[in-house]
Amino acid sequence: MKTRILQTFETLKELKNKGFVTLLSLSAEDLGDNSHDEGGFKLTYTLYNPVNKEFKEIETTVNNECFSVCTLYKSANYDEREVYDLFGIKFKNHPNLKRIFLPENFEGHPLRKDYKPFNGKDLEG
Amino acid sequence: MKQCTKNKMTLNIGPQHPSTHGVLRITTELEGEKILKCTPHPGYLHRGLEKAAENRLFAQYLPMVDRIDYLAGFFYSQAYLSATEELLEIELPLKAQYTRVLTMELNRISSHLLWLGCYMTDLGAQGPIFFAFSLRNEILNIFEKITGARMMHNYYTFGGVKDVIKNDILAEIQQYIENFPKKFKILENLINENPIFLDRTKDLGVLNTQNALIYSITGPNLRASGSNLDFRKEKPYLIYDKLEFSIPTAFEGDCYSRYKVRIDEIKISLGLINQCIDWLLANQNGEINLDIRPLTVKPKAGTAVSYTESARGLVMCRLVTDGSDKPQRVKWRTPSFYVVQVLEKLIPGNDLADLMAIFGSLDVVIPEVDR
Repeated sequence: MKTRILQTFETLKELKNKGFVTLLSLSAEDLGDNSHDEGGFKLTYTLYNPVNKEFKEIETTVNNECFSVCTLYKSANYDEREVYDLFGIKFKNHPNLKRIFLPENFEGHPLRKDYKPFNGKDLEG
Repeated sequence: MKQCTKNKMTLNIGPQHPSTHGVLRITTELEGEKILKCTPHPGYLHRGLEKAAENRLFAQYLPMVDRIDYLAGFFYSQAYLSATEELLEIELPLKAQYTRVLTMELNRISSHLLWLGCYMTDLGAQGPIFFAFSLRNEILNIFEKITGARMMHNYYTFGGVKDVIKNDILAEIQQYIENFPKKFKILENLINENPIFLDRTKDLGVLNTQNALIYSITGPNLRASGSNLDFRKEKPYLIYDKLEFSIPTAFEGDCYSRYKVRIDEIKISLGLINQCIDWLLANQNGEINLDIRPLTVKPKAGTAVSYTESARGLVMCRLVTDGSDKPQRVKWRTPSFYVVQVLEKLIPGNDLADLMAIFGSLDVVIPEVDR
């Protein structure tokens, strides 16, 4: 598992050296199986090469942990905070992994498919 | 707040502050007038628009996407619909495509005009905003006649647009474009050679090409830094590949070149609108939509990504569906989100008074950051 996370990092590093210097977007998606042990989330990195005008999408599946690419792409800082905030995926080596949209004391990660608002309690109860 | 050490001070700006164009909180660390560190804290306008998509029909989500950027809503409708239409496997009628481009380019002008007026107010010039808003008001009046709404239009629909633009409205737009340069000249004369404006914007907040690319800056902000990346040319959508237009760029990357690029973009958009009107007048007949019942929209399972060049930069909509009548996941890539981040890099080293001069020049709209 650890090696696969690092593999994505290495791939992105290689691509950056080849000229893909812009990370246009980092998108996460819950694949829907509630276990989340065997890669329950899909991350998509959209890269752009300004010299050849080329686009590339790198896809990877992760469970609750991933390796941060902040050292390669400065824009990934907020992207990864957003993914952490809404999906709860933790990025190792991230300089400031805090919630970005939701308040610090918010419970749960709302874009997970198993998220229940108000901890599953009824609003009136 | 952190403690003040001997000469340093922490200053909080916002979230309710007129110059932040919405609700953005920025904390700065000051030494005298000089900013040592600047940290933006977005999130005060988070409405959960990505979550909201998950339990709504495709048609129910459509009116919400205009609200992501209320100043340039057409682009977001286009981004969302283009992704949906790709999965529905339909091709738009030509007339609908020209109508969409026409309204989007008008929207680009109105958005840039609002930015221009507000930016000048940020810099302390109280005059230009009246000229800019009066020009923008005419566009909003035209929008009201076409769509029934001045800002949140909800005019596009699956497979086209909802209503045809009548010939008298087209004539009105033509009239507007004809008068535009003369009125705009008055506005430009107030700004272009104003020594205070030049002093406050030249060589300020310089963002070089390399930094702009690595921070994923797009749109006019990137083009002011020397790149010519424009997704209307790069990944042409609708009929942009049939239209003739150039991409204005500047190389200094300072606040002044960001102003210059936007001014030039307004003029380019006028040309695009003229081309659309000519086509629409020559092709009176033709479908404007495919008569799809919005509530029955059910795209096939799959993933679609759309690229749209909005007034502020690249808007990406990634749509994941599983064949049901509700989207599985809608991911928005909004340009302002990345621009807020670059403040950490641009602001330190400048005076506190220049914070808003730099921030204003980047044309950030906070609802777009927070979604």
